[in-house]
Amino acid sequence: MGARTTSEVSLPAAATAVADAALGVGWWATKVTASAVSIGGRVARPLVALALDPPLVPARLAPGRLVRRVSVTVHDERVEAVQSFTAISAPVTLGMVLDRVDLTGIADELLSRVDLNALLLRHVDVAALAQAVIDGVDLPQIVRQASGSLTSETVESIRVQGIDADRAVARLVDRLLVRRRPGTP
Amino acid sequence: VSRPAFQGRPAGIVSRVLACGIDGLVVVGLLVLAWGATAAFLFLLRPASFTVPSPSWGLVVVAGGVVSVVYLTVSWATSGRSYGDQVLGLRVTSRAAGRLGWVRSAARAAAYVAFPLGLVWVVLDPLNRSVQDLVVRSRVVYDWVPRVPT
Repeated sequence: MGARTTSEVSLPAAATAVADAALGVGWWATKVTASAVSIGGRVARPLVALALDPPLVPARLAPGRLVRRVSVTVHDERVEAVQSFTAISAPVTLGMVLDRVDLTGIADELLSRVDLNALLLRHVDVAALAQAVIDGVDLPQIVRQASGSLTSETVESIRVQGIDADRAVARLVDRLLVRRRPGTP
Repeated sequence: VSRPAFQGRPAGIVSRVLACGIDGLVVVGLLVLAWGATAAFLFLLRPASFTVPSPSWGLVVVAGGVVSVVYLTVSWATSGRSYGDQVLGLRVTSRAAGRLGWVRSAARAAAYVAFPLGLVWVVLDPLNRSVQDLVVRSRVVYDWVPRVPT
């Protein structure tokens, strides 16, 4: 096999060469730009410093002082401003979102597709839960209090009604016999 | 139980009649219990020839009288209250507001069983005393406070 001619160079090799050339040009341009910026910065720094703190100008009137004050103000007040904005905007946004969402419908749809009983029985020890509830409630004491109160109230009611009837009968008899009981005015 | 304003005053006819009615039910219950116990005893004694006992009215009246006298005597002589008195908040005491004693309690109980209409005298007596109260010198007062008189 002999040496290939230029016309015989394959297409992938040509594309690679073009890409290499483009990258080389780009890299060179970047280096030149970086050098220019670096040089510009070095040259401009004394000028900027001179502009911010010009000689023969009182310090309180220097532009640099104003720039530093603005920077400090922004730095100090940024956190508070963000908090205020969050406090104002968050509830409104949440409320707007909730207004536009049919939560009841979503809950119904979810619950209709979920077997809550099976889930409950699978993940919850219902017997232990019921036992804990029963242990926490002094049921006998409640029953005793309820029945005791009911009995007491019933008995008291009977006694009061008996006494009222006694008085009524006594008054009637006294009126019929035209007499006064001892101790009555 | 709080002490009401009428504590210690003579009890009227309605309360006392109601108490007697409740005591009557208690006596009937005791008689039924005695009848059941007798039937059970007879069944255990002779199961083959057992028939439900059917006492005569005379026996029922006599047994009822005896049970009533015993029940009322024990109630009045010990706590001063029968069950009916307890429900209506009444207490049977001596004239001096003390315990009535066994003899007077028995006499009062026998008098009530023999002559229940003596209770009606409560309506006419200014101090709400029945014939039996006049005979055995007792009184019946409202007493809601649960205590035993000395």
